[in-house]
Amino acid sequence: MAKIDSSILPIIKILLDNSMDWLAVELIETIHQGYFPAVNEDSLDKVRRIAMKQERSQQQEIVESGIPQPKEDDNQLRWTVEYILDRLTFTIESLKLSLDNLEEIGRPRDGEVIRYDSSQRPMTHVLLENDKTYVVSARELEEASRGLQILRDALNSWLDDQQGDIQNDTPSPSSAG
Amino acid sequence: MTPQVQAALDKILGSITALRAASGAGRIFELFVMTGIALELKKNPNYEVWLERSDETRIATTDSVRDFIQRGGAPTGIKSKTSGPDNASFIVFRNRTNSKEWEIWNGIQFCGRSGGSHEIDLAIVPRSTGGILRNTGGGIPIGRPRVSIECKDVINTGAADEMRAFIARLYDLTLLTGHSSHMTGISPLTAIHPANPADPINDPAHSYYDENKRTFNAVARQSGFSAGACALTSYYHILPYQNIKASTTNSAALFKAVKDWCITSGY
Repeated sequence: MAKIDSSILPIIKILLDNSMDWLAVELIETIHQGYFPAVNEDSLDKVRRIAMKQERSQQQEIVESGIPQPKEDDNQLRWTVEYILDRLTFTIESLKLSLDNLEEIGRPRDGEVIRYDSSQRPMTHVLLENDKTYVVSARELEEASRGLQILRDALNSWLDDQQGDIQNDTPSPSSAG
Repeated sequence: MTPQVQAALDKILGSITALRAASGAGRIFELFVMTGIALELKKNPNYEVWLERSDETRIATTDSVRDFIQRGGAPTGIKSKTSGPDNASFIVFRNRTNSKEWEIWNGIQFCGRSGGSHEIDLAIVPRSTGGILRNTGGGIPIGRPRVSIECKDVINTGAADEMRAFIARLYDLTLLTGHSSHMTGISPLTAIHPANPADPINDPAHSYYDENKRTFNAVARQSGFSAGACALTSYYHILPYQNIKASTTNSAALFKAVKDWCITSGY
């Protein structure tokens, strides 16, 4: 379990103010839970091969339970900013690729004639949740990607200011005592 | 926070409003995995693959409305065909050699032997299961999908509890020949219900081991797995896939594994 650093509160607040509660909760839970060291790809590949062979009662070599490591408090602010940027980047990229995939899946087989008309629209992703409808198409995704770059610059600039403030508030060894 | 941060968030959230929804990012990850598998199947000449609305109409290239709908919020079963095209969309694939058809579902609840419901992020089921439910007023399927994939988009490493929960869900959903004495509402008992009992592919297995062997079960994570989570996988024939992100070799490996399994299993 790691202690949550109060310096991340402005980030949590702006997420809540923008109805991104899910991300605020995810950040707090992730920091609080700590970090489990990940198994490397070679070990995972071995695990999959054993599972695919499907031998009865075959146990794996990996048996350790894994102990969560706390995140260091002095890294939490930067880690939080990076987490948000990674999460949004990944989500936007996934949606972009999904819409491309849907276009490809919906396309007729080779040789089949398509009659296009002016009313044809690109594939649209629609999410229905609690009587609300969220719609996005490829055009909006381009806009979101531009917004993400602006967010990256703005958050990094804010982060530099915050960390500059922390350094200025800390007495230097020569001035102390 | 600076006005620049707020302005950037306004731009992003104004474009992808789904990021304001509690299930938005998670559903987008599931869509990525779902469409990746479907596209991999489509690349194989033995499969015909297409998109369908909840009323079983195909989403055609020439349609003026081409919405692919996902449902967030509380998970549900399959909606009746008569309730129209505005419920969850799905993907259908057909094996050109044996004419068998399958449906790929996202975020549908399945009922277990206990009577409890379990949401499976990504499921492949016989076409007859979806067809019967949609044409008989809708409902929750009982039993275990032939392909079950748990999708985890959070960046933190997957812990053992996540894997335990998935294994427990699959076990409750498993219908075996020995369960016919107390699953009296389903006669004859099939591995998933409703389904065509005349098709031997729907026959229940004799043991958990057999059922684990003849189904494809995986956890797909955007990040990695802890050693504790891995220790539970191969014994129960759960395939762990990590680093599942846009255009990674790991994503391609997962999509190919599902396609290869479908081919090998005669799906």
